[in-house]
Amino acid sequence: MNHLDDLLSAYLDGELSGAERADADRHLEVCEVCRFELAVVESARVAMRSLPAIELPSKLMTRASRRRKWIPAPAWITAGVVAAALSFGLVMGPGEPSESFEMETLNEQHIARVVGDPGVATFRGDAP
Amino acid sequence: MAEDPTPTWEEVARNHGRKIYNFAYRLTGNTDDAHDLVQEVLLRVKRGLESYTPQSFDGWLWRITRNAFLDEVRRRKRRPTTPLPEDDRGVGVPSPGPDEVLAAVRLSEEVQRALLELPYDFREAVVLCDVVGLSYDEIAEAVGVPVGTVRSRIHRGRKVLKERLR
Repeated sequence: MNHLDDLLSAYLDGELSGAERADADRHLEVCEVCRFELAVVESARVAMRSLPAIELPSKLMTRASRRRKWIPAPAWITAGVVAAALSFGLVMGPGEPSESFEMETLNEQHIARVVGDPGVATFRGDAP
Repeated sequence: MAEDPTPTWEEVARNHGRKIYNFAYRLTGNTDDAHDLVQEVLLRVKRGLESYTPQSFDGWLWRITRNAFLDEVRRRKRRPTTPLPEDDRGVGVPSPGPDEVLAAVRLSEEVQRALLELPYDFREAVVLCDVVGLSYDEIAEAVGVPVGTVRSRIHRGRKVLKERLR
């Protein structure tokens, strides 16, 4: 008698055709060896499917969505930013700037610098 | 294979990010690797969608995921570790008692440990079937092997897994 072997997992997973399934059912009725093996693989299948689903860390999705928020600025703004960067001595090397460009971080750093600037504080009347 | 309409990158990230993360975590037992893989896959998807031609989307996505995973493994050669960080444990499970939580965590750690002992081909097939929920046809397409091979790997993988769990 040929045992079902690999067909047993396919049987559990609903991956057999109607005719194959009917054959497997008939075989299982009379074959203790295959019934035992079916119980073995079913137990492993249940254990695997009982593993808790792990949530994606929220910071990962935040980072991913931040990346897609970046929209190229109009050419005249880009030219101004490039000129300003060059005047500060910043040089950008080759690579893929759009994929790792954290616009929000740069904005935050810029705002922190401006707020902390004594000239701006004087202008706003915040200076001691 | 059925042709699926082209999804947007946001849809892929929203609908498949968690599955990719779980796939990677179950294969490696390492949250850092899983984290890196999701980012890498989403980047590849972003580039790939530009030239995507309608086909079986799951097959396409899991081919990318698998290739990214194997590239990472080759690149990093990091030893897998089993423990799950506290904040990732049992997420999404309705608050059972402490004993139940402990038993569930212990069991899932045992299963994870046994899973990591399986040969890679078996582990991959079992995870794609039981964790990701792909059909045998989809696994065959993603892995690039005949359906008969998928059937054999899943079955043998489960048998070895059960032996390790005794």
